[in-house]
Amino acid sequence: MIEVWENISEPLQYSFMVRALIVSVLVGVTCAVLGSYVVMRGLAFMGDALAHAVLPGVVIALLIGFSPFAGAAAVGIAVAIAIGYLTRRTGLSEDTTIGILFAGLFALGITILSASDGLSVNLEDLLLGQVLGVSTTDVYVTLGMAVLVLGILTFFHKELVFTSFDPVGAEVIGIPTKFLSYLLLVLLALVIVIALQAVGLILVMAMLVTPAATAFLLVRRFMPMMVVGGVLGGVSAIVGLYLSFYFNIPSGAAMVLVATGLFISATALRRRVV
Amino acid sequence: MTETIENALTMTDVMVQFGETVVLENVTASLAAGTLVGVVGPNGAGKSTLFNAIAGLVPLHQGEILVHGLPSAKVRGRLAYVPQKEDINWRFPLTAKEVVLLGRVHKSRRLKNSNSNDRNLVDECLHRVGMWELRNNLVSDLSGGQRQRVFVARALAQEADILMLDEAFSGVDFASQESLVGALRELRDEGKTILLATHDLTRLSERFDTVLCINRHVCAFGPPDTAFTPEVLEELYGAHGVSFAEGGHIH
Repeated sequence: MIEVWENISEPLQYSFMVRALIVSVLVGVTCAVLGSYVVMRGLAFMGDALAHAVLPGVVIALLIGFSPFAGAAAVGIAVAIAIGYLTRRTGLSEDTTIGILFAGLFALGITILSASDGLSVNLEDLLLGQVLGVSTTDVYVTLGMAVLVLGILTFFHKELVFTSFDPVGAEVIGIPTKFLSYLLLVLLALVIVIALQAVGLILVMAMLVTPAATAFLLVRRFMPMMVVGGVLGGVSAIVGLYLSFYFNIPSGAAMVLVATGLFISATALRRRVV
Repeated sequence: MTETIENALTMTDVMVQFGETVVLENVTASLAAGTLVGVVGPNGAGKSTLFNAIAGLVPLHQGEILVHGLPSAKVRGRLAYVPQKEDINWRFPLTAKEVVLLGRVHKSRRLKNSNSNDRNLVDECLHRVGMWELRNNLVSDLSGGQRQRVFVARALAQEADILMLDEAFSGVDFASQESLVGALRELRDEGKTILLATHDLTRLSERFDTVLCINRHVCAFGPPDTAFTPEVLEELYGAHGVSFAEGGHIH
């Protein structure tokens, strides 16, 4: 028993580990709560695409000495709006315009990154996350973003539920459905930005989708799904971080593996119940 | 009764265009409050577009639509819309009761749970459409007819006085169609104006007070017994419609 406690408390004597833990939990919880909408509105591909598309924003921000948060958020929001615009303008399906922007911007990011020498980040950290390297400022920014996103979701809760379930009926009653769809995409961009450090841009989608989907299998109601999803996201982040510490595996991969393991368990559990 | 009967809905020379395509033209019709109207026409005739126009969701290229004498943008809460089933995200996990509670969204306070008045009203609406026992079921698990009842309850909770039901009979068995009409008739008797779009010609004259036949323009408008001439049926459905009517299904 004492040994278990030591295993848990030992990493926490390092301040980098405490910072990493705070950021991971915030990311895990926020991703999963917003992820409930991602799962229920079918935005998984959009989330994955946004995560890749913010790469040039991060790289350019670092090059000109700006906060990578600001760069990624700006590009994320621009892409979210551009996808809606292009889909309406071209008459192409949304997944096509998402695919075009996603790959194009990701390629642009890689090109700028490889063309610029002496940049302090490497591609691997961006792709896979480097949560052990977060600064105190990063912790505050993450906390602020998480509070902002969860606050907006709470503020517009009823309207978001209405438009997600019945967009036409919501519009008839006077709910600004277009504004709310853009708002969700903007929130998605913000969450992706804070998740980049913890899990990296390749695996962000898993933190958005997997805990929320697991929660759906367990509770099948929307509000409980957000709460249970948030808890599962937080637990995945904590357990993943410890696994990463003790077994020296990338933190993002460890968190996603835990979340995926929980999903598989829930699937098995559900089959037995039904 | 000293006041003159107010028209719940007045459409004057309505024209709707999507790009170059004319979807509706020359639509003129007035509906008195407390009427149960069948909006009839083949698929693609513009029934949904007409509903969207009444709700103020599509711009009118020409003409005017007044709801109780006002443009629809000013009467948002008084209109309720029951979408066709393809427009609903059934994956979204809401119970029947939660769906009815959505009807209170525009009247409820932000960040507050629904108050006891709202909850009482919601309970009453669920009772009225006969969905009280199933209130905690997910709407996705309900049958087509039960789902329609839940949406009618939502319209009641909204305290709307004009209800538009788009393709309300599709995927609903005959007995449930009949009981849905029964529920709508009660609401009609309380003064609600109800428009139900359908491409199904079954028992129109028993079901509706008035029919509005649409095929891009108004083909016929009036009591079902007189509105359906063979010419109208032929225009709406081709020769098949005429033989269908002669088979006795209309009357």
